[in-house]
Amino acid sequence: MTENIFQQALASEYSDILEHAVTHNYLVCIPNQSSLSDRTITRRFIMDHMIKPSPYVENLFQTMTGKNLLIKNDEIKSHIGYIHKFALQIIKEENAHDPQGRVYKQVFVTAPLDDNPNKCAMLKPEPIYKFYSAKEYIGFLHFAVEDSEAAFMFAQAFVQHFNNSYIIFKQFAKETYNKVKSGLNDLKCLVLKIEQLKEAITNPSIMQNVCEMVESNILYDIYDKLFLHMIEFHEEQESQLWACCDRIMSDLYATKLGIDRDLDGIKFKESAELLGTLNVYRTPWEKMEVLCKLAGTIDKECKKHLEKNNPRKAEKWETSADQYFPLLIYLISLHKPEHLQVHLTFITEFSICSGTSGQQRYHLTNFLAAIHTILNNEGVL
Amino acid sequence: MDSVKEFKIVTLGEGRVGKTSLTLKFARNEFHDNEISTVQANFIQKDVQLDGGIQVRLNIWDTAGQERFRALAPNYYRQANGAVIAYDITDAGSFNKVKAWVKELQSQADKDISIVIAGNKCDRESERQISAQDAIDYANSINAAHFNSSAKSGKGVNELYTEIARRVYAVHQKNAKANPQLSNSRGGRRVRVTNDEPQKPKNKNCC
Repeated sequence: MTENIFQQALASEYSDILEHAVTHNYLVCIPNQSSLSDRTITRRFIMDHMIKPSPYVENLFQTMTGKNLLIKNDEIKSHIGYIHKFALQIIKEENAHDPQGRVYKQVFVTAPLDDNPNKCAMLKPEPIYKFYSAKEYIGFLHFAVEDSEAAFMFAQAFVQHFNNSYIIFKQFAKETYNKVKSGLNDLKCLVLKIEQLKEAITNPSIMQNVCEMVESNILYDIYDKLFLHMIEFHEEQESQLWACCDRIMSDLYATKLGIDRDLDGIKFKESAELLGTLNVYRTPWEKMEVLCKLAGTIDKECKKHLEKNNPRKAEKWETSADQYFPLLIYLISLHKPEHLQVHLTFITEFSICSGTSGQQRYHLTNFLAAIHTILNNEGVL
Repeated sequence: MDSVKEFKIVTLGEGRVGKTSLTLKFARNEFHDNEISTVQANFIQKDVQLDGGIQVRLNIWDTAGQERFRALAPNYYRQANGAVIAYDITDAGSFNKVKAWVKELQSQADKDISIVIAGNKCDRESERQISAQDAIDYANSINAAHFNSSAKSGKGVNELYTEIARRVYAVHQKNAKANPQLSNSRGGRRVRVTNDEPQKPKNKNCC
């Protein structure tokens, strides 16, 4: 086979990549010359074609840019990290020598391995009916630690994993819900492991990147889907809660909850609007922020209401827990914020937060206690 | 790196004894305004300077004191490092409630929980219904500290929170020495990740 433009570029302009590849036992994939006619050979393009086998997962290879490929029976398939899926044929393998005479392996393929929408041999994404083990994730993580590019790919691996899990999730709903939850627990463990590794690793900034990516990129994509299904699972509980709220509002006056008489008739319009934004935010920590903000809004609305009813009291008013807690019950019963229980379960289940004493945990505890009180109000209120 | 140790303190006591006023007075102390991190009437985060230049951060949780919400208290004192139990010196009934809280904490809360009792409203000494000595004796009997306090004048307020900070820090140091793995910069609790499956509780009825 005549040396093609890829090989020419690798030998001349990008010899440092070849040097790195040979030193670190990468295989060099060379696309067929005819597939390169309309391509610009860039550094990244070259790096997309340097691959090495995973020590953790059979048939899995990773490019120098951090994407994953599967090689089996003379076929190279895109795997994790590719938006545009493909399967290519291996034409042949042969040994080659670098300028220093060191041997390396060349693999000739029918088309480039870059993430290109115009590739001829496109495949539809295949659902993988399999959950990776925590050990395999750690394997991916080891790749990711090598460079930040790989860390990004690592993040995408999680997205793909959860997208695939979601397919099964839809089919076997409840049974799989537990699996998804345990998958997320693995993920939480992983994040905590990363945090623990931070102290030991020589380049903590890379680990920080991985942590941030796990938290923001990966989870963000799956939250919507999980939330929608949680709504279905909690439908019955929500109707039960609203029935209890109706009972509270019809049987009792706000004062019976222990709320200051001067707050009689308070509408909590602004607070209800704020609680409505729980449906807008996707991540547990954004939702948690809403719960924290609510304390301030309730306090503000109380003062505003008191200014009309009892201006002297308004001046000194502080919404203590003695008042805040019953007001919270009243607010929930009055406005019945949509999917409130789901939001709280969502925050409890999926927030990556190990703190037990901070402000967020305090407000979450108040909400959970308020829901508990509403649901079990007989003899209490 | 932030090395301030954080501790959770829960404020307990009957309704209207002045729990919130106490914590707010502590938080808004004019001499320490620059130390306030977060102030809401029901949640306060504040740094306290201990002897030897040690700084600790207190996350103070306020609780609803009404009897009807009593059953919810465990949700609040769970994993608390310390508790400030307040009573009104002009209301004997509120002191009896302190004893009930202590009993509950001793049986339900973390075994290492530190307790400080606050005899509040001491600016109304003439209306006192609880003897100061009885209250101190009771506090000593349960290894707690007792302070006469007034949210109005500020008397005893800083002292009682400094004392609870000193106590929770001492417990933390003791535990850190006994078990260095549990020690960390967040007040002694941290999730450790292991590959072990959680152990199922043994069936007591099993022969």
